[in-house]
Amino acid sequence: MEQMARHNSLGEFELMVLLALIRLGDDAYGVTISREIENCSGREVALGSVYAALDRLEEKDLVRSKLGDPTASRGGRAKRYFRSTQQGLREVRETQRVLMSLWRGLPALEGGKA
Amino acid sequence: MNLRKPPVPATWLLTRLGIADGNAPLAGDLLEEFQSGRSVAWYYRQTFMAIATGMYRNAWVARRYLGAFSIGYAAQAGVAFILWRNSWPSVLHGIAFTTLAVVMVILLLGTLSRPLWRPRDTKHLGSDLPKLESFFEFSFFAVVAFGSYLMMYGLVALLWRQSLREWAYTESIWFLGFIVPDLIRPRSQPRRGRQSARGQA
Repeated sequence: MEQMARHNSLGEFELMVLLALIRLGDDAYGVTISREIENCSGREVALGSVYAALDRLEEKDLVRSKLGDPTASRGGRAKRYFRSTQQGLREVRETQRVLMSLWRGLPALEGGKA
Repeated sequence: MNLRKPPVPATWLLTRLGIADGNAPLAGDLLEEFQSGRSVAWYYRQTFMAIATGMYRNAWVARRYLGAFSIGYAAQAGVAFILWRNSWPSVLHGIAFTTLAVVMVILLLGTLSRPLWRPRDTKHLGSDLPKLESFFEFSFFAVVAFGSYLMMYGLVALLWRQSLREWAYTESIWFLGFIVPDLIRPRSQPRRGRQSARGQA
């Protein structure tokens, strides 16, 4: 019931980050997530913003993280890998459902016409 | 393996402002991207963005205390300004208050740039609580600094044979603005229902 009451609405950037890490699967960490978003959006992404979004998602229990092993090319620092939780997947589906239903209500915009 | 060296000032900022330690994976990601061919300008941009994002997040975590601090300081400044305009030895008071204000702002910005908040991971962090110690160090400094300032204020009042009423009034605002937030600070307590990262989806 508490879960139902505490609905986690996703911001635009949070949704992009969550979708990117779902696409990446086991290889989702800061660099790959930001590159994935850059490739799709065509815009440079600030790694700090990606981490801020990931931290917010983790606070909402939508993603979990774990540290990998440190490597020399990263100055001896570990990668932080992220994965979506079941709740995160549910949230993405719910957001997609809402957006699709809203989209269907705008026939003038169908087919990519703005 | 011959690795490129990132620009020293940016690295210094990352280390000095706590991102290299407080959010090591982010610092590692920046370095990895730089090693893979990103430009120096990119590294600087990302560094400043990381610092700005961290400061914003810290301010959000400490918003309650920042609010109390701002109200306390604004009230203090208002009262001091009125006293300054009316009856206090203006040069002495003006110099002292302005110096203290500048130092406090610099310290506040420095405090916010440090990692008040750290990400939850499973290997290094025993606690899920936000790391607010830096802010409380600052808060403690504020109490000591303003306490000293107000003692001087009271001394000047006695020497100039002025009424201490304004001084007492300022003291009470200082108390509400700085002591009370420290008294109601959150204590360590276990976070509800968090699992380790092993139980991932």
